[in-house]
Order: sequence, then C-alpha cells, then structure tokens
Amino acid sequence: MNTVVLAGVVFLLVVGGVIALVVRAVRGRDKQDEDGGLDLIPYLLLALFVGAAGFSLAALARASLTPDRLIGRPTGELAGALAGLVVAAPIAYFLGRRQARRRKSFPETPGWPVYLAIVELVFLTAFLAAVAQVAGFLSGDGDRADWTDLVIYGGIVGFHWWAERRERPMGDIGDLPRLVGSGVALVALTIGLIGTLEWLFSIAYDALSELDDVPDPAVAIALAVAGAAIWAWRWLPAWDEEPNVLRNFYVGFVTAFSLTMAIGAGVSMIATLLTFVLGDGGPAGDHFDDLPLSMAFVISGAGLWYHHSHRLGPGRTGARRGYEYAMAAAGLGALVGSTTALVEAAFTPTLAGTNSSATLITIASAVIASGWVWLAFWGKAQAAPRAEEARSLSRRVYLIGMAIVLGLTAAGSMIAVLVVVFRTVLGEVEASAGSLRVPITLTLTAGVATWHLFDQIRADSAGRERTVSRPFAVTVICSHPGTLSTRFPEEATVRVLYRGDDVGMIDDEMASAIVAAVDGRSSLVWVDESGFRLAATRES
Amino acid sequence: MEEDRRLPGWVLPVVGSVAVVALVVIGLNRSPDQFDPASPEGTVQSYVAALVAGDFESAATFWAEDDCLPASIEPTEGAPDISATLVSVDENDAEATVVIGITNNASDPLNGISEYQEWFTLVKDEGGWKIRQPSWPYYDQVCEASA
Repeated sequence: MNTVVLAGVVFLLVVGGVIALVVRAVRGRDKQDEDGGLDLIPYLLLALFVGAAGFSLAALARASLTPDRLIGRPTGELAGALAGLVVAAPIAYFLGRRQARRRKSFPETPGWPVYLAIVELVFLTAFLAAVAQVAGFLSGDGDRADWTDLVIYGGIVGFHWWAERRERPMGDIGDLPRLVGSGVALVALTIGLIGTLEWLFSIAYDALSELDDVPDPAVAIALAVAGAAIWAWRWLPAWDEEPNVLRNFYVGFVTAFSLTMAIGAGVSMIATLLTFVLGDGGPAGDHFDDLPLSMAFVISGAGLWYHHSHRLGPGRTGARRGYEYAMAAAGLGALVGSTTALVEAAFTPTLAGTNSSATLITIASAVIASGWVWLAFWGKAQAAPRAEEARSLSRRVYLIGMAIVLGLTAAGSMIAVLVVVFRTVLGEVEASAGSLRVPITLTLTAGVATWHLFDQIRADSAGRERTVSRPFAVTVICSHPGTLSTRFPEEATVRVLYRGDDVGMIDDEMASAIVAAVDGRSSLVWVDESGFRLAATRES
Repeated sequence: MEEDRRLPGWVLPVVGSVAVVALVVIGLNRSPDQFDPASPEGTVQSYVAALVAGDFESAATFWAEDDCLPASIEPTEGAPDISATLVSVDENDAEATVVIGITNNASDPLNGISEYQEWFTLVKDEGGWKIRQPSWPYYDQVCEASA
C-alpha cells in the first residue's frame, strides 16, 4: 500500500513538474519573441503530447471494446492507457490552446504546418494500417480487428484536416501537411494497386497455367480504395500558391520513383522472357509465374509516372530538374552496382557446367537499362543551357551527393584491394583473383563515375565564376514579366518596359528560355504574340 | 465569422473526459465472452480459466494425454491478475491452433504489465477438443510415461 501511495505522489510530482516547465517555457518565449519566430519547439511538444494522448486513447478503446475476452478484466491495459492520457491530454490541450492564440498574432510561423505534417504522417499511417488490419480480419485472413483504431486514428486525422482548413498554413512550408498526406496515401494506394493487379493477373494466369498461390485481395483492395480516396482529397485540389521547393521535390521524387519502379519491373520481365527464349527457363508455367507481380509493378509505376510527369510544369522547372537528376542518380548508381555484379557473375568459377544464363541475362539487362536511363537523363541535363543549369539545387545535389557516395564506395573498395595486396606482399596469404574481383571492379566503376562527377563539378564551378565576374544588363519589352526577374542571376540588372497590351505575357517556360538565351550577356528582349526575340547590346 | 464558429474552450475537455470515463466503465464491467465449450477457443477458455482459478486438476482434464501430472513452474497458485484475449483460431477437421494474448499485471505497480501471446495446439476428441500441446510457461505437464 505504501508503494502505491509513493508511486502516486511521484506520478503527480512528475506530471505537475512537466506542466509547470512547459507553461513557464512557453510564457517566457511569449515575452522574448515578439515576431513569432519559428515557434517550432512548442509545436513539436504539442505533436509529442497529441501523439501520446492519441495512442493512449486508442489503447483504452481497444482494451474496453474490441478483443474477444477469454478471462479477466483488462485492468492492466486500462491503467496503462489512462496513465498516458492523464499525462498527455491536459498538456496537449493547454499547449493547443496556447498555440491557437499565438497563431492569431503570428499566422505565418512554420511551426503550425510542421505540426500538422507530423500528426498527418503518424496518424494517417496508423489509420491506413488499421484499414489493412480490419480488411484482413473481415476477409478471414487476419487475427483480430481493432475497429476502434479506425475510429480514433481517423478522428484525429479528420480533426486536424478540419483545423487546417480553418487556419490555412502559410508561407513556402504551408504545403507540407498536404504533401505529407499525399505521400502517405500514395504509398497505400501504390501497395493496394499492386496487390489488386497482382490478384487479377494471378487469376488470369491461374486459368492458363496452374499457379501455386493466388494472393488474397482484401487488404490490397482496401488499401487501394482508402489510399485513392485520401490521395485524391489531399493531392488533386488546386493549390493556393505557385510550386515551391517542397512541392517540386515531392513531384520530382515521386515521378522518378514511379518510373524507376516501372523500369525495374519491366527489366525483370524482359530478362525472364530472354532466359526462356534462350532455353534456360524450365517449364513455361513455372518460369513465368512472377509475371503477375511484375506486370502489376509496371502498370502501377507507369500510371503514377504518367500522372505526376504531367505536373512537372513546362520548361526546366525545379520539379522537372529534380525528376531528371533523380533518374540520372538512380541510373548511375544502378549502373555501377549491376556492372560489378555482372563481372562477379561472369567470372565466378562453377563446380560443374557453366554459369547460370538466367543470372547473367538478368544482370546484363539491368546493366543495359541502368546505362540507358543514366545516358538519357544526364543527356537531357547536359542539353539545357549550362549557365542556368549549373546554379540549380538539383544539379548540385546530384553531382556532389553522388560524388560523395560513389567516391566513398571507390575508396572503400580500394582499401579492400590493398589489404589483400599488402597481406600477400608481407607473405601472409596467397593472392586470390576471386577475392579481388568485386573490389577491383567496384573501384574501377565507382572511381570512373566519381571522376566524371568531379569533372562536371569543376566545369560548373568554372562557368559560375565566369558568370559571376561579369555583370550584365537586360532590357525586356513585354506585357507582364511574370517571374523573369527572379530567374536571372544576381549579376543581372533587369529593366522592364511595359507594352500596354496583353500579347506579350511571359510565363514560366518562356522565362526559363529567355534566361537561357541571354546566357549572361547584355541583351534587349522583345516579347510579342509570336514569342520572344533577342538582340545583344553593348556591355554597360 | 471565424470567431463565431469556434467551439467554447470547455467543450473538448468535457467531451473527452466523458468518453474516457465511459470507456473505462465499459472495460471494467465487461464480462468475458462465453465461447462454445465444444469449440477450440472454448476449450482453451475453460483450460485457462481453471489455471487462473488455481484448479490444476480440472485444467489437466483438458489435456489430450490422460496420464499426465501438472508441473507448475511459476507461480504455484493461479494468477488472478491476468487477462486473456482471443487472438486467432486456425482450425481444420482434425487439429486446431488457438492463439491467445495474455496481459499479466505485475504485483508491483511500478513494474508495469507484460503482454505476450501463447499458442495452443488442440486435437479433435469425441466431438470436443483436447489440448495436445499446452502452452503458458508457468504450468506445464509431466506425463507418467516419461516421469
């Protein structure tokens, strides 16, 4: 009994202390921070306590309502959930009220969208997991159905959607909650779509040639339906603002990922077909039984790619650059890896017979596909005007990021080679060509790729220095300049003369084209209904 | 206009508190579900209920083998502070597997609770089911043949 009393006292002291500390901290900030600041710490605390309260409430509902109880009362579960609620809910409530008051004075602080994004990421994921669990149970494939999770997590997500509509997050980071929600829902939609298509193709394949296992579609269909509905709700409505770096990153990444998914599955299908044609496939029914899954990946990836690639924007927008450099990175990384794997597979000695043609064909297909992807997308980047391209964030991330990753890979492989060489020189072991095959190949392939990347970084830097050292002036005659002036480098002095009519509007695509055509030289630009014309002017 | 649509500050805490209290009351007053004793889950329910009550001899009657003696590891008398829920039943004409979730409340409140799952394998026996492979670590069986 004494232990219980002591535990209660300690519990109350801890809870009271936490509340006092939080209140003191946020009050202090009120006085110090007159412009609102980032306001991140209170919102992160709010997200933490809302999370604890939400999961505790879900645990409480599960214990009270859902399980098929065999014996006993759920006192342990109730006690644990109540403890979490008693601590987290009051703090979350008071912090929420406090932040609501602050939002009236400082509506543009980034803490609000960050908080909404965290809650959406956590509870939308939990909600979709509950959807899958309940669907599995209803189809007779799952162990239990915690339907209360659907209600609690769905309620929390819905409440925050309502709060977001009531008080729109502002600024560049204001898109974050919608992007996070779109991304989480898109993952569920993709998983569900792939599972549903695999089920359909498996039924068709099973009719042609008996299949060992036709997957159960319930969870996949449920995820596809729920994911599609939420994705449509979060992604499809018009956006308040022009695309910014966050949305460009999202669109570029999703477009690249979906195309990679489709190409990867397509390569697998081609390799399977080639293996069979070349006579190393065994019975056709068994050999092609991966086709339903591969086709599901290809169709899902192609569909997602089609949708998102039409939202990259005209011209070399940030989203398009992000997409193309992400594809180039994926292609280059896969090229280095698959080339190394091909050398290993081709020269590995066999105990009997020859190396598996299926393995060689699959890896060779991957080498060809990744090489083609890299060449195609790197070629697009190189075809764009270098002066503008070299300043883009996507290109720098691609060149520097890949140079670091591949450079470290090459260095690590070289260390592995040298360890064997030095041990041989010192007479400890006999050098084995087999043990050196992978590290030598990786050193060469990753090394060449790194050299190429550093060469491009050097060329970009030289171009930037040349541009930086030469100011220039551009005079534009147009109806409206749009975003043109923001696209020129700092060295440019842009003067706009308005035409007084509507036939010379400059959109984003034309702005990019004008900047590329000017290419750092003093120019006069004339915009009319036929596009733009450019004349070089004397350097000022 | 925005201000008019805002709920009074006391609504959320009051509604939340009422919901929490209601859930606790429901949870505490909910009696265990009654499964058909002739079903696999009903057999496991009866077996576990006998164990919790400390009635080891009754528990042993649910075993498929007759000449087995109870061998308690820990504790030596029932466990009133546990609750068990049915997780899954996988059944065919001859055999069934029942998975239950067990929540064991520690006697010391600061030690919290432990949650784990136990698997029971049952075989069909004269219209009912018998437990061929008892689970639950604190109560095992030692059969005469091997004892």
